[in-house]
Amino acid sequence: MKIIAILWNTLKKPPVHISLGVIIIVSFLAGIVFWGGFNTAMEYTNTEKFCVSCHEMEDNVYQELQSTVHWSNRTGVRAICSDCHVPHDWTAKIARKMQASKEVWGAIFGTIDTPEKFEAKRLELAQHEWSRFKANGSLECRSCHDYNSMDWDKMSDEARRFMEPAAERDQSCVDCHKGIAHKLPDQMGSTKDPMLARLVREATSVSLDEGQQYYSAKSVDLFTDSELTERAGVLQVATEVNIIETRGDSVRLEIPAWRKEKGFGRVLYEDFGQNISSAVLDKEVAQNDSLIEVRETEVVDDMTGLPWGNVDVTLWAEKGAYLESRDALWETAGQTYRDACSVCHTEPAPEHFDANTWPAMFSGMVGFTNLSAGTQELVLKYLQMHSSDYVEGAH
Amino acid sequence: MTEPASSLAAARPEAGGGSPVDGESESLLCRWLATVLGAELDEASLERYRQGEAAPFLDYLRDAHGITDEVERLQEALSRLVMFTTPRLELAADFTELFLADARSGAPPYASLHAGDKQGFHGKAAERMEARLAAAGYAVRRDVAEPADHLAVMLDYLATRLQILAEAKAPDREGWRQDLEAFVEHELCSWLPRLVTRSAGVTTASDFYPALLALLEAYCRRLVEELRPA
Amino acid sequence: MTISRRSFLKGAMAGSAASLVGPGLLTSTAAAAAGVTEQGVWKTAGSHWGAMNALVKGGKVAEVKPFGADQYPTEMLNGIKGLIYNPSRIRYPMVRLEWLKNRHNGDRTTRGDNRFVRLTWDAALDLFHEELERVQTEYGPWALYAGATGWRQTGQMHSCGNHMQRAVAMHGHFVKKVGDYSTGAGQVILPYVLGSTEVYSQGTSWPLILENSKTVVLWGNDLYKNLQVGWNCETHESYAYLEQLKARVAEGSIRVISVDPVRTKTQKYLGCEQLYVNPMTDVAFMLGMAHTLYNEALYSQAFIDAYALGFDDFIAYVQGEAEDGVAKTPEWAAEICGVSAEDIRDFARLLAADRTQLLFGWAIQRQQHGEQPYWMGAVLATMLGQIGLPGGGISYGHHYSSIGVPSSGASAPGAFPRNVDAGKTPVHNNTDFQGAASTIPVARWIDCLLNPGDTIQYNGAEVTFPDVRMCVFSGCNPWHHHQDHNRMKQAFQRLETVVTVDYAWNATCRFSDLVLPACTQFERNDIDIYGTYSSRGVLAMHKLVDPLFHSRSDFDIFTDLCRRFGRDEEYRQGLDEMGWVKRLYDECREANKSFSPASGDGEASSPMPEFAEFWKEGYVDFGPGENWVRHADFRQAPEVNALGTPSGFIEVSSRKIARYGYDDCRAYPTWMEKAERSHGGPNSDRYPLWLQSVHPDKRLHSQMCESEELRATYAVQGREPIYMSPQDASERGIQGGDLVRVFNDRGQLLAGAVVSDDFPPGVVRIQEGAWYGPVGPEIGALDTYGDPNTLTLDVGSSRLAQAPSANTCIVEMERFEGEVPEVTAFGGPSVVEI
Repeated sequence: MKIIAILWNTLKKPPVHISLGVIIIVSFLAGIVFWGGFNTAMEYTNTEKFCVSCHEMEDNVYQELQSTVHWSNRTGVRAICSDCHVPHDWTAKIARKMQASKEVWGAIFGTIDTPEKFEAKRLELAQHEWSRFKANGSLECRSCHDYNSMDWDKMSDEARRFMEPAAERDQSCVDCHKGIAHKLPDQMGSTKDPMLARLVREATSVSLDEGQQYYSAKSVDLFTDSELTERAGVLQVATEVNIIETRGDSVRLEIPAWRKEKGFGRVLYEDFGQNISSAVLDKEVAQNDSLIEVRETEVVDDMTGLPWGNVDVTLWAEKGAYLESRDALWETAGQTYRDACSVCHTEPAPEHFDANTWPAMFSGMVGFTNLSAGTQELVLKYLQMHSSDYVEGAH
Repeated sequence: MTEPASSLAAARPEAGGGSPVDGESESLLCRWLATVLGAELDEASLERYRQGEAAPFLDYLRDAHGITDEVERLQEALSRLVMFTTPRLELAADFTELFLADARSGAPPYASLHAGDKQGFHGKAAERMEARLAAAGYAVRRDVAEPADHLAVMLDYLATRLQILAEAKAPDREGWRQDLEAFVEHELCSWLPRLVTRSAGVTTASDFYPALLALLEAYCRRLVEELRPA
Repeated sequence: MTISRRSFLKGAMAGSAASLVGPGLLTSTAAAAAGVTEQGVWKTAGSHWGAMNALVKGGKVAEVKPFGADQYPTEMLNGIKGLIYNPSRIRYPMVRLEWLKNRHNGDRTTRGDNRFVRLTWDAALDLFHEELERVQTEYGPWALYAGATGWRQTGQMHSCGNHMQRAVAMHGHFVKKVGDYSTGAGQVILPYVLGSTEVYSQGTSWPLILENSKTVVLWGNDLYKNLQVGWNCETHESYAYLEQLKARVAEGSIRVISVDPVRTKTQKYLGCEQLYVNPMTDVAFMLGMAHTLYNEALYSQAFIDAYALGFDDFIAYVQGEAEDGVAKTPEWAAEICGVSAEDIRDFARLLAADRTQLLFGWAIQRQQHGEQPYWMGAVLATMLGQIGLPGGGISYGHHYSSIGVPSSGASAPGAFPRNVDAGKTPVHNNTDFQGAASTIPVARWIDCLLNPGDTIQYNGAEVTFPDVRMCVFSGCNPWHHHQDHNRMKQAFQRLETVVTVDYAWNATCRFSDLVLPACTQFERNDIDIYGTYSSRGVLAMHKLVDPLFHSRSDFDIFTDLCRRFGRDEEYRQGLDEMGWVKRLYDECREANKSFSPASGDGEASSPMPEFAEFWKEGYVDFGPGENWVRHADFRQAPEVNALGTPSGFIEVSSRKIARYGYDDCRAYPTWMEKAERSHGGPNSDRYPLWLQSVHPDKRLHSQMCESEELRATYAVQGREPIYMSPQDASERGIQGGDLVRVFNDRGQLLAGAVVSDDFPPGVVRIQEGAWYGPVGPEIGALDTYGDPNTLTLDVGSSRLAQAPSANTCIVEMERFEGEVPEVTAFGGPSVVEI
């Protein structure tokens, strides 16, 4: 019974702390052991030839690696599969995880024998590895790249701007450097805005504690059910949420918000009287009292004469899309704003306008930029949250 | 102004036949004119002028070519420079007014701008000049960054032609002479009077550059005459 | 005395005279074979006037032809060669002599009329750097104004404002500007009303207008004239639709009405109707219309209920129930606007009868209270209830840069950065503006120079003017675009140092201390979007010829300036010109990775080839875009696609503006009398003629005024034309071709009379952008060429926008007698007696 329980757990829960390399090797070894011949196998599994001996590896990730700097560079140092994916103290783990992993092999590899299937699974596979790197602080990277050995003066300005704070926090390398040796999963798209994409990737490995506050790193679909089948609306980027409950790949969120009491109340706003949107709900959801707790109502905004209500909206959404603070989002948005808008003119300081003027200024000009819809949403929110309404001493 | 024909006759080299023009001397004279019209005077050069070191050129222009009034006018301008506290700057500002600022005003030293074809810089005159330079194996120095029809470039080119004339053997000499005569007459004398008129319309602090232009114009006129077969 | 030539030569060489002979300007090359004619190379280039193919032969531009894709090229392309080889080119770095001698302690009263001397680039940039250093250390960031920018030459890499501001910002902070001279009032009022600046927004696609509109109203909008130029490389795609509109007018399926005192070029092209309105009285006219729409129940209450706020307060004003107690009846309006009450009613009924597209030009907001006609236009459109419908609603931009041509949706190339790189700070990182504003409304900068320390209201906030001592301009000619030049003269005398980078000797150069020659866009490599709004393609801008004379690219100039404070590598981010062009292309290519042409086969592959291939071909086409309706999303779901107004709805009245308490911009659009107005308005007894200074037909603002070829096609006796009615001409004994003196209390100018039936009595036109050329430095000196800003009024539109009020200007004119002064506008610095 106990073995079955372990097996079940392993299959159900992705092995967050086991290296993909270990899984593959162990699974392979399991076969070898079965046939007898453990010692020779031990040596062999550490070679590149072994790793790419299955076509899934050779056709996909191995090809991708060859176009990266980890394969070919001016210094001639090459990282092969095991350098990154096999912990350097891996032998101990082999014995311990052997049996469980044998099954994982089948669970994973039975499903990726075509390029299409591989792409469909890529995010899941990648997330396993990222979680492991998150947990060990990207230990394998650091056997070559060490914060202590970095000479800031030799670094480009941009690199230094990100690397110095990362070093201070002893941040895990792969938090930011995802997709450097292999293609990124398609779901993690935004090639238009690499800075934002980096934060979205970072969010995939943030662990969520119930009862804590987080901020959406991208816009997230909202659902009424934990299986995420009944769509309820969209949570917008950089919105504060409280995690009520985590269940599997889903989280139950509470969105504290204000909304206008005109129309259907579909749009949730960050603050009273401020058109800083947090979420857009479907019409039925917006009027469903069981999902929306009304805390205050009929609060009139003198600037427009419109009545507003204060609500908490509780809905389900995917995991892995939230950050612990908005600082990095604001930093990215600020930089994007300055870069994109200064193409044509001097960009006004965020505090030059108030929160309710920014949407007008922004929509009038954003057509000239190349910002993706998601980035536009973030930049506008940044401008509003740093407008004269929120900055001390600004007019 | 009347020309003292005797002095001209006397100045002719004894070796008869061919051009009466002393190519070597004229060449040097043209190089001097190109220098003084090519850039502002620096302190050292200005001092030399004030010390009268340009006298050989001026004497020669007067004595060999019989240009008296224009030479006197230039000498007068030189002697009046003492009136300025910063003569170099004043001359540089005059140079700018006349030659360097907006070419719609002043006396821009480019043949194309006086050709009347309204093409602006790099007009037909510049193209002809470029062709001449190329054929002769010359180009305007890159750091100079002036079109080929800049007056100083044309004078430098003229200097090279005069030098060749001086060194030419008898059978070739006539060809060089004809070419030179055509050049001075059609490429310089054709627009220098207009340049002089334009310079007269500009208020300058010193008469140095307007006087120099007038002198140059007189010289070119005289040179054409002298280049003609006797 | 006679000398031998031999003796002269010997004497000269032996003596010191030889040292007066320089090394010469020539260098030896291999002699070229005679008679070889060069074929030349065709290259691609772009400009505000459109793209072109240029034949370059022997290092010179021999011929310029319109780009193949441009079906409606402007004749202004004929001015390109004249622009490159123009005698007005700045050829060398120059410094004002008085300033060179005495720097900021020198005599400033001679500014604008002084002697210059040539400098080497090194000396000039040293001076530039020394002055920046002096101003930052002796004063602070408040003393440096480097905020003004203008219609730079096209090209995303060399965009000159970006270069100047990045370089100056790497040295220290400075005073910046907000707003511009084209749409100053519109871009401030419309966010309160329609939730967007609107003036620079993509508008409803022309095909939908042609398909759905029954009436098209051109309100002060001469789009046929203004669409010749664009902010990026212009495609002239709009003209195809104007051609179709002309056909619709001819067949009677669309009625086009030009609301304008003047018979415009567009009206004449389309063969459409004109509705004359007295200058500056559009708001009164529109209020009369609103009265009709309301009282005849021709307006859409349902639309107002769903999409607008504040209608009741406004309509009370219309009905005479507000403080003023005056009903805005058509009869009331007729008195002011010169349109009969019945015509006002008929016009209102016509617009309400069927689908009506309102197309506003920018002219009516370039006047005192310029916020009001734009706000009132939005209110009319709201009452008509067609906002968000195809071929209905209101647009404020269809005359600009081919707005209304569907967007391909492709991303455009970025630009050389304007800002200091992230994480970097200037050499002088002093951000203490000592209580003064670090940003000023652009049209108030002369007020700022004249009244440092004064505080004004602007858009709901206070702005305290900094005490500016130094200005830097690059590709920006305030001596064309700012109002009241005689006032500017006084202001400029307060400045210690003015540095200007430009390619031609315009008036701004002449009022500067340090003048640096930039090359034209045809003398450097660059890249541009083809079609500012349509994003039709990406264009290679090949360098046609080397920079003329000693001019240099902005990139080179400012790299060298930054070298003086050790930041040149950072400035250029380690890249050279072609490195940047390639980077901008590659980034654009990356951004368009998943772009697929709207009309294509849906293939998601990028149409953009590798850089080398693009550069060789010169152009990538993104294909035409898809039709789109402005505000359709708002109309479909007003709650979700809320407008950017405080309420998210159309604000017919604005509580926010009301709260500012401005008497020149109130809670809803109101009619206000102007400081001066023709046709019976204030001061019209002394100055009965309204002077309109519209965007020119054969220039881009002041650009190309220097082109002799083009100017010859419109100038009168070498002067800018003044257009007038036969009646005004004959009353003053003026005939076409005469020189006239145009004047008011602010100044006087010479212009050449053109008498035309297109102009009604009391209206004269001098196109803006005419180069300023006063006879002397004294205040009030006669302008010899005819820059209308010699006469215009320099007041803010209101406390809200503080925008230029150039079209609030009345004048008188007379036949000019006496000795005619030469045109000085195109001259360089002139001379004073020493």
